[in-house]
Amino acid sequence: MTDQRLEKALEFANYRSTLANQKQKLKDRCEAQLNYAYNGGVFHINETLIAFIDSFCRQDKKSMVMLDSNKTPIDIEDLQDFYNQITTRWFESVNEYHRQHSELANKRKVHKLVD
Amino acid sequence: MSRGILFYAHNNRHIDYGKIALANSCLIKKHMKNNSVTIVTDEGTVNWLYKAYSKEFVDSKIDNIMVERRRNTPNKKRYHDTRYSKQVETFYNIDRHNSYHYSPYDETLLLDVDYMICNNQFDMCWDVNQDIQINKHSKDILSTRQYDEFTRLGEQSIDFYWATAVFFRKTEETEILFNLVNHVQQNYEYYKLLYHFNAPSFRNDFAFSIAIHLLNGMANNNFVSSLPVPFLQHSHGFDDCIDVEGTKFKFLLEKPNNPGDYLVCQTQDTNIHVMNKFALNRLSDKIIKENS
Repeated sequence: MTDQRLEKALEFANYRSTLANQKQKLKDRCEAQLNYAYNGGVFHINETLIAFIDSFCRQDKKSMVMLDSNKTPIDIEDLQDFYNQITTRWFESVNEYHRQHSELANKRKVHKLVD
Repeated sequence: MSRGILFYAHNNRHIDYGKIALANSCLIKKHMKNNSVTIVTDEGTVNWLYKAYSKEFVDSKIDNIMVERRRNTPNKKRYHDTRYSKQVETFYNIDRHNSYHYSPYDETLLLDVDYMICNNQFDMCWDVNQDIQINKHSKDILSTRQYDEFTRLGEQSIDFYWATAVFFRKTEETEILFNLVNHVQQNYEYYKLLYHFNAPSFRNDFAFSIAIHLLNGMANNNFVSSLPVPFLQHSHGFDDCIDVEGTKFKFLLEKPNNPGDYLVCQTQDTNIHVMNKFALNRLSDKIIKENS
């Protein structure tokens, strides 16, 4: 392998490492934003929680007790309001994650990844 | 219920903790809803701060300045400014056990001055029904890097808790915790032997970890709960923080398998614990300018 080709390979390796780390930063940020405090409890918003709450909303259930991230029972007094808030937060965070992730994918130089 | 944030800032000969606290207060005022800030400091630190910034400006960013006597201590700490430079300096910020009494708030978020607040996620602390909140987990901002020293106090020791961010309400239990932290600090050499760790200087993280373990009945239990963020994030003293633009922090991160070689990284709207205090000192003026 010529020096030039080796240099190019190492440059690409550096680009890939930087890209991977920047992607991880976006993932971490999204994960942090998906933590949500409600009525004294903390909930990690994910697809399971949304589907679980939605299933009870569809049955016209008005309130229920849920276990939060610390396994503490929390009284959700207005189930529909809780559902609206967690879905809004979920869409905001995940859409922002998607937008920034797509932007990163189009950047081919290290300095552009951190612009 | 009064709510606010408590910092400790005692300068030493190299690190201007007062200015870092002011920079962080600017970030807090900008991003958080519960943004009343109190700093516990000493006369030298506050006079030095007033030389750099007017009293009016400082008072607009820091709500209470508590001037205490800086205790002389033999406690030395190694401060790295990348791998290429280090200083051994006195670490005076060891009076955290007094937080329960110093804090003017009923509900306090106790933060390290170098934990830069770039979003409002910590506002959730006040909405959670847990009187003591502290995290075990902190992620390195270089995802491929992981050091065991932040998992346990020693190889065969107990879990590590980060005293970087602690939320507490003034309750009887909380007072017991802070009294116990004080006791551990007073008897640090004994607890070093008991808990099988070798740390040359006193660390707040270790004192809190031991106190929590004791109050958990010498077990992993749920005396404290996690902050409403899944993990903290940190960079090391070997890394450099080279630029800041609003809430964007740009770092050079040392590659774990290639010391002295760096990977560039940028964080945005992310709370970040910057362990390279020299880098923060270099950037403090810019952080204040961009966020005030």
